[in-house]
Amino acid sequence: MIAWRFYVNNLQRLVSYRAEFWIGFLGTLVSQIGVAYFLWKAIYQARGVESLRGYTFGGIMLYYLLVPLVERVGHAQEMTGFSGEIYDGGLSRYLLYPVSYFRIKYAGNLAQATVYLVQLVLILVAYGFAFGMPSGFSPLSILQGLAALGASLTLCFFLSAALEMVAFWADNVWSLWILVRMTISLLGGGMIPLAFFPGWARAALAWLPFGSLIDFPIRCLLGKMGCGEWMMGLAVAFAWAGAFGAATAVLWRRGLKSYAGVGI
Amino acid sequence: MGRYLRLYGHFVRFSLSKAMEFRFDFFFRVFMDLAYYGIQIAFYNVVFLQTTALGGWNRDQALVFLGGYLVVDGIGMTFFSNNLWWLPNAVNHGDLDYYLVRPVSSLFFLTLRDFAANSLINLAFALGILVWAVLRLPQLPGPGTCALYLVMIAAGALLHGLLHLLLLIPVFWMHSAGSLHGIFYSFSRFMERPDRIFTGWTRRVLVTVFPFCLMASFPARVFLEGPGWGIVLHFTAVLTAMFLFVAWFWGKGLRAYSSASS
Repeated sequence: MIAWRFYVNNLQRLVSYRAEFWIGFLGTLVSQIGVAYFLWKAIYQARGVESLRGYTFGGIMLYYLLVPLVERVGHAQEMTGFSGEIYDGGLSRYLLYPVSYFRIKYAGNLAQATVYLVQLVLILVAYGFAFGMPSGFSPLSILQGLAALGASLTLCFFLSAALEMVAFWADNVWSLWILVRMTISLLGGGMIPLAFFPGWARAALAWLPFGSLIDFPIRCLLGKMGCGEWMMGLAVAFAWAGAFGAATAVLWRRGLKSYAGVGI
Repeated sequence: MGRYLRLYGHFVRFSLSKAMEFRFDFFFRVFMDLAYYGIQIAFYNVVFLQTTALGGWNRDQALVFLGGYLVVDGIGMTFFSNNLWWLPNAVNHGDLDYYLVRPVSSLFFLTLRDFAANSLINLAFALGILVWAVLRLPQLPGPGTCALYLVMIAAGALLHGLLHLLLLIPVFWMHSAGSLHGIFYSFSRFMERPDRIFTGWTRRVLVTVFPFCLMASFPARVFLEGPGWGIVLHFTAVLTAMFLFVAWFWGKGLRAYSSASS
């Protein structure tokens, strides 16, 4: 029940900062797609081909349209806020609540993901009206995509949590998160779809967590996933989420022993 | 002028001693930027698996452009970025008062006070990447062209700082500046790619009004293709116009500043 209240409160807070929300979103969208449009137009023109690695020019533009939307649903763009509460002592009040700190935080994350999911749906519908629905798009791909987004959200939550637990001992984890975020952007398929990487790199990346955060949900939504590949992708995402969850639990227990509760 | 140089010397000394207080953060920031450099190089390597030319340049030439971009970014991070990051806060919280009453230019104080020592180390690495990329070229340009290139790279960094400041000045009339930073960093993506991949009105805007494509691409074109006076004149004209406009706009902003915190 308390976790539900946090979900509702976070949803209300997010919707009340509408202008900032949309300016930030549109700025990212326009610049990301703008640069990708001209970059890939130059590449397709230089090669003189219709399709590269299974992507037409239109298909790759749709991929880049989905990148910031999917990143936002999974929160691969921002920290979850654990470190801030460790630094300013705000964590103390959560320790008194009769519900797990991580459950409360996950509920807050879910609220944010709900807003971003609505944004994703609205933009996809607008895209469908303007250009027609993508060829691989189907009820099955939507279901696969939703499951992949859920996995991405959970994985990103525990990845961020494990990383931010370092705040119990270090004075600033912000740069560490930026480092991880940049790695996710390249190795997760945010800068360039993973299909364009060399074969050896794709084989290695299939077992790492980064692709689960961006490339995997997008390929699911675009209907580029067979059932076996989809289940394998989910298994990899949840396995990494479990590993980061276990690391978080260990760091949390140790960190609380050194937590003074007065803030830095 | 001498007074400002002495003052800047004090800024640097103070920033260095402050950086050494937070060593873990200092080295993480260095490592973070090095990872960014690695990611940019990896990106271009993946792109050049798909094509042999981008914006009129082959892989080796594109790496020279990238090296130049990293140096421009490194100079901006070292001298301006920290200061510009906190500038909207100073305006919103009324802290600007402390700078306005000092007997030096408020713009000088606010944009150069914090010297990022960690970024200076990254700048050295960026210069190393540039030298590595240049040495891969089959033929090197003459010393005059090299000197002009270095001057244009420094000027590109100044333009980078001016454009960031320009996009922050509306904070004098707005209450929130989070989106202003976001817009600058989002649109900085245009600077990371060669200017000639952009066409039509987008390109015209990116080399004049919001000259993101001028900062690293034009110096690289001078270095790789020889100094065309058209390019140098265009670059100088845009830089001068930007400097004058930012100075005028800053004055307008200061007149609108109410000093009340929000």
